[in-house]
Formats: sequence, C-alpha cells, structure tokens
Amino acid sequence: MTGRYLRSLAAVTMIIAAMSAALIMVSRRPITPIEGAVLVTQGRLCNPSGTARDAIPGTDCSSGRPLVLPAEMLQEDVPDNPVLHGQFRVATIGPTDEMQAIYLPKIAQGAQVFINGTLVEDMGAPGTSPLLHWGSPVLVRVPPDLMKKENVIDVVVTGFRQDGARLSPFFLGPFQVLQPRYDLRWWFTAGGGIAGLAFAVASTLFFAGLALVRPGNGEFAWMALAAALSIIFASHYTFMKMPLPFRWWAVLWNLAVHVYVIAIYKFVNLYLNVGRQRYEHLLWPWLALITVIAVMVPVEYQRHFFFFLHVGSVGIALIILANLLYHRLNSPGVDLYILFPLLSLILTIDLRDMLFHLWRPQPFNMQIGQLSFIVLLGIATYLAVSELLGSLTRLENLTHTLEDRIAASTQELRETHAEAVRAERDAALAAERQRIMLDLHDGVGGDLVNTLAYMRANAFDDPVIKSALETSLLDLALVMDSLEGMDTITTPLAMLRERMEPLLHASNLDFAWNVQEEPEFVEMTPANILNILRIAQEAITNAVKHSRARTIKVTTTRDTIVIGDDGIGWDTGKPKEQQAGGRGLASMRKRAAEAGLALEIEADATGTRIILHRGDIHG
Amino acid sequence: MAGRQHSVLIVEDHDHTARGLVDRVRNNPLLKVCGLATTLETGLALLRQHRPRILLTDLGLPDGSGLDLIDAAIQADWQCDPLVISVFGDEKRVTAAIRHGARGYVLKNSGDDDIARRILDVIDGGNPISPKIARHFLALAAKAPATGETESAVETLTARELQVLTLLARGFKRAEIADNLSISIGTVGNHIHSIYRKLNVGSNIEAVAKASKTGMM
Repeated sequence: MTGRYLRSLAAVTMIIAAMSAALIMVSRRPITPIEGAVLVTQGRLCNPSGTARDAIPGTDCSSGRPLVLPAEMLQEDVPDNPVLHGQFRVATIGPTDEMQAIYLPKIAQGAQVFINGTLVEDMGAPGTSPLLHWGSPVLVRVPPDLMKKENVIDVVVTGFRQDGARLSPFFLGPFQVLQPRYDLRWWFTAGGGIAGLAFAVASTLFFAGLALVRPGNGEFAWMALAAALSIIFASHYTFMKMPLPFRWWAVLWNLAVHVYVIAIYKFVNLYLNVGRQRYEHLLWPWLALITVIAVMVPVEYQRHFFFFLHVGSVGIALIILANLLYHRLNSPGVDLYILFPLLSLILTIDLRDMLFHLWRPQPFNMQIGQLSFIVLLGIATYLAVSELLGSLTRLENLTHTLEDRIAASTQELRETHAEAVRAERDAALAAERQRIMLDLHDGVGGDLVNTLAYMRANAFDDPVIKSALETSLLDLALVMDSLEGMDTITTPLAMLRERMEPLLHASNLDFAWNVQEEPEFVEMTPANILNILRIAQEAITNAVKHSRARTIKVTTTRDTIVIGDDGIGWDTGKPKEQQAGGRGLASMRKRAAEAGLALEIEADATGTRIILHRGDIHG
Repeated sequence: MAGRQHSVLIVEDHDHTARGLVDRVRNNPLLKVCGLATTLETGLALLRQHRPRILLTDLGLPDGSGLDLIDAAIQADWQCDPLVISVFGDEKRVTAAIRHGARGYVLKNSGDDDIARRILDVIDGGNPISPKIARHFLALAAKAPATGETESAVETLTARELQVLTLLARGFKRAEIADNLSISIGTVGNHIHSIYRKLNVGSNIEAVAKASKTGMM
C-alpha cells in the first residue's frame, strides 16, 4: 500500500464521515407533536418481568413503574420473546362524535392495542411470533363510542429476543388529523420498502443483462450478485411476514448485506481492471467462517456478532471507495463522478441504518435503508447506458472502419479486376497472335518455300512468278516480325536486313548499318511496326532496283529513322508517271500517316534519303 | 575426300523444300546427306542408324514435333549438332528449339550456299544467332537477376556480352560488331558462345527447362 493509496482511504473515510454526520444531523428528528392530537410519551409499565406472563390488559397498572417513551424491553438472557406492556391514561381532546384513532409511528414488532379495555388492534398476542412491524407505522381506528373523557390505553408490544420490544411516542386524536401523518410516514417506510424491493429486482435484471451482453471480466456478474443479494434485505424492509424464523432470517439478510458489499468490491476492482489482491484468496474461507459463526452464534449474541460483521462491511465499503478514488485519479474517467457519489451515498444511508438496527437505544425514529435501492438502480442505469453508449460508439467506429475497408477493398478489387481483364485480354491476344503466326508459318510460309523449291528443282524459272512468291514470302516475314510484340523497332529492322541482304548481295549492294539507338517516337504496336517495316522495305527495294547505288544506309536515332542510298535517285527528275518509285512513294506516305509519323524525302547528288520522324516536329 | 565429309540428316515434310535442302547441302564438298526423312518416326530411326554429325529438322512434322528429334540428338552418344529448319527464323519456334539444345537455325529459302555455310559454322563451334534470338536473350538476361531463384540457372552476362547481344539485336554482323567494339571477329564469336553457355542454351536442358517453368522464358 502506497502513501497515496492510504491518503485516498483517509480521504474517503473523511468524506463518508462528513456525509454520515450531515445525514444524521438532518434526520435525527424526534417524533414531534401533531396539532389537534395528543402525543403520548408517559405511562406506566405493567409487566416488570418483560414477559407475557404479567402482561394482562385491563389490569390497573397505575402503581407500576413510570414508563417514558421511547422505551424498549430487551432481555437477551431470557429465552422468551420480550413483551412491553404500557398503560397510558389519555384525555380526549375535541369532539368525541367523530372517528378517533391511535397512531403509532414506530413500533417493534407486533402489538395488541386496547382502549378502555377493548382490543382495537391485534398484530400478534404476547407469546406468539409477532408480525415484523418495525418499519411501518400503525394507525388504529377507534370508534367514538369506545372513547371516554379519560381513556386508558394498553399497548402490549411483542418483540424478538435478540431485537427487543420497542414502543415510541404515539398519538391519540381524530382519525382525520392523524391519517395524513400516518400516510406520509407509510409512503416513506412501507411504500419506500416496496419501491426499494422493485428497484432491487430491476437492478438485478439490469446487471444480469449486462453480464450476459458484456461478459468481459465478469464485473457485471458480481454486480448482478450484489443486486440479487439486495433483494433479500429489501424484502426485510418490506414484508411483515418472514419466510424463516426470525433467527435464521436475521442470519440470511445480515449475511446478504455483507456479501453484497464484497460483491461490489469485486465489481469495482474488475471494472477498474485492478489486479487481484493477495488477500482475495481468503474470500471463500472468510464467507464460510462468517456463515458458520452466524449460524452457531447464540441468539443473545446475534446482534453483537452482526454489529461487528457490519463494521467489517463498512471497512470493505471504504476500501471500495478508496480503490475507485485512487485508480480513477490515476487514470481519470467520467465514471468517478457518477460511481463515487452514488456508492458513497449508498454507504452513508446503510451506515445510518446499521446504527438504527444495531445501536441501542435507537438513535433515529425512522430507517431509510429502503431508499438506497433507488441509488443502486441509478448505478445500474448509468452503467447500462454508458455500456450502451460505449457499444454504440464502438459500433459506429467499427462501421466507419469497415466502410473504409470496404471502400479500399472495392477499389483494390476493381483495380485488380481491371488488371486481370487487361492481362487476360493481352494473353488472349498474344495466344491468338501466336496461333496466327504458326498457321502462317506452317501453312502459307511452308507452301511458298515449297513452291519456290519446286521451281528451282525443275528449272521452272518464270521471273514474275518467282518474284511474286519471294515478295509474298518476304511480306509474310515482315508481318510475322511485326507481330512478335518485342517492343522494339530496331530488331524488326535488323530482321529486315537479314531477309533482304541476299537480294542486296545479288545486286552487289551492301548495307551501311547504323542502327545505334532505339527510336522513341514510335508507338510500338504491331500495326505501326509493320508500316515502318514496309516503308523501309519499299525504300530498300526501290534503291536496289532503281538507284544504281552501292550502299544502302539505315540509320536510327531517338528521333528519326533514315533509309538512304548513294545512288542517282529513284524518285525525282522524271515525270511522275515514269517515276519508278511513284506508286511506292504514295503507299509509303500512306503507311507513315497510319503510323502517325511524318515522311520526308531528300534527294540530291549524293543520293536519296527517306526520313521518318514524329509528325509534329517538321510538320 | 569422302572420309572428311560431315554427314547431315535432313528431316522435312515438304517434298520440294526437302529436295532443295538436299541439293544445297550436297553442293558443298565438305558435306554429305546421309538421310532424308519426312516424318518424326523415320527421322528418329535414321538418326540412330546413320549417327549424323548434323541434324537439320523442321519442327512441324506430320507425326510429331521436331523438338523430340533435337532431344534425341542432344542425348546421342556421339556428337550431333541439331539445327532447326525455319521459314522465317521466327523467335518463338527457334528459341523453343534452342531451349531444347538446337545450335541455331537455317532458313528454308536462304541462298544456295547459305545453308552449307551455317552448317559448317556450327561444326566449327559457331552459334548462328538472329537479331530476334539476340533480343530474346537480352530479355532473358534482363529478367534473370530479378528472379533470385533462377540465378544459379542463368549466370549473369558481362557488360561486354550484353553489348554484343544488343548490337546483334540491332542487326549488326559479327564483323561490324568487331569493328564497333575494336575487337576481333573471333572474340565476338567467343562472346556469343559464352552467351549461349551462360544462358544454359543447348548445354543444360534441365536448367533451362527449370528456368522456363519459373517463368524466365
């Protein structure tokens, strides 16, 4: 235990002491006179033995010991239930023709009330087990014809051995005058007890619901246990008949109070995520011990035992509050400002009732423990609402997170899908291209070669057919080169060199090969590549056939493709219809335009040059 | 003279093409045609029977793929260099054959002495390589370092080898490359041979098959 914790404990003790002092101050009101009624405070004790033996209504007790109310008959060493028989001589005030009443604000437990020898109220004759009537007021109707100028009122109160028989000051007066006071007190005491029981049940349901919905560390299960135990002592505040003999009922509800406090201790520690304390493993042995003692303790010491047990309960309650204060000051939470006052209030109320039950003479004329259950319900409501709000917030955050994730995933999926579609399309295109190429190769290509071989083998040397076949074969080769999809124009040009070199050599021409850079101005689609190859092929063919050149120079740079020769020119200087390359030139321009390129022809004394470049530079 | 002639087996299903090839090979005094087959089955039988020094095979045969013949030639217990007969020297077909160990290709319609020249080049240890095949090798070499797993299958090419490959892919002849890089033609040939070896082409079918499976090819 740190000094800081001890300071929390001290602070809590002082807070509770202050609250209890304030509560005691404001609630320690004696039973005050009612205007229009007689407040009876003095009489004679008829049964000095304190038992039913000499409590005989109707006997004159005017020679008995004076009896000043409030009075109590408590004889723990006598096995019988204590009986307090008081006889009071009271003069009637006011008119006697209306309904009169005796109003007993506080009495323990059952009583028989006689007026002028007539029994007017029977809540248990001496020698029987009386009704449990300590919490509620009693209003006895007295018909006017029973009334005299001087009345003799006998009140024979029967209590329990370990609790005593008690009688507080009471009133005699007109029913109309006393009834409102009775009603008011009834609402606070018996009515409050009924409401308290309802609140205890409701709290139990709330906490059980929370325990089911949010099992978590089990904190709400402990609180549900606490609330369920509170139903037991709420019943004690409420019902006049006990389910068990007084002794065992007292054992039950007093133990219930103690375990209730322990359960709240468990709840608070779990709720605050405070680690299990070393002494907590003593919990079950402790409960077993106090149960055994409670059962075994002799009736005459039961009250004392419970007094010490509840002193322990108060100690635990102070520790609960100290834990709450200590841990919530370390990590602030709004729940401190709700739970701490509410739990302190419960402790203060119950502390006062502990004094009411166990202190003698009783320091108050009314118990208020029944009002603590609404505070318990307040705690249940607060926790349920805060858990609900927490859940909603978490749900909202989760929804946002999920929405974001779904959006991201959708986007990703869309992109992946688009990419997959693209890849699939590309693959299908490539496969189809491959199939066409193989078909061309094996079918048309093989046949063309075979036909040429046939012509050669049979000395069938028709130059037109041979040239046509060779041109077709070359064109097919260009188509296939363009379809390779290699993302380059220099390699297809290189293949063109391979294919056309035999033609050049046959005409004693040579290539001056200057393909140094990959042109960057061509979009490398099969169609564009084929167009450029055909332009190059046309230019080379024209040079071979018409220019009388010695060398054909092919140059590539990033920005141009140039096919030039050192011949006399095959394009200019003749009428257009005679130009050997005329038709070829037109088709070259068309192909260049299709490839999005500009084609220029330079012809001078040094030769002819076909220049391909990006259209927007030179127009 | 006959004893110094290198035997050539030709497997080609187009009649006239086959006969044209036979004629052109025969025309070279250093070469003789030991057999002509038009189907895979006959080709395999003749391969075993004649134990030729050179195998010229078409790929699309009526009863199967010429690749099987190339495999048989590579696994033969005598030295037999396979070459592919191609109409166009198209990259996909020829590189598939080279993966199986073909030493290069001949074009069906090439000039009279071209086929014989290529065959003799291969016998001398040369590796006919077209610009397209060079481009394909370049693509392989570019991919190889990226796929760590295949590093053992394909050795990294030297800068000079990459230069040679690039120039080949742009259409330069060996002599031009030699000029361009100021080295001898023989050195260029050595580089090409080294490239073939490093890319495991023809020398390590298993590794290349593995590389092919791992997506390198």
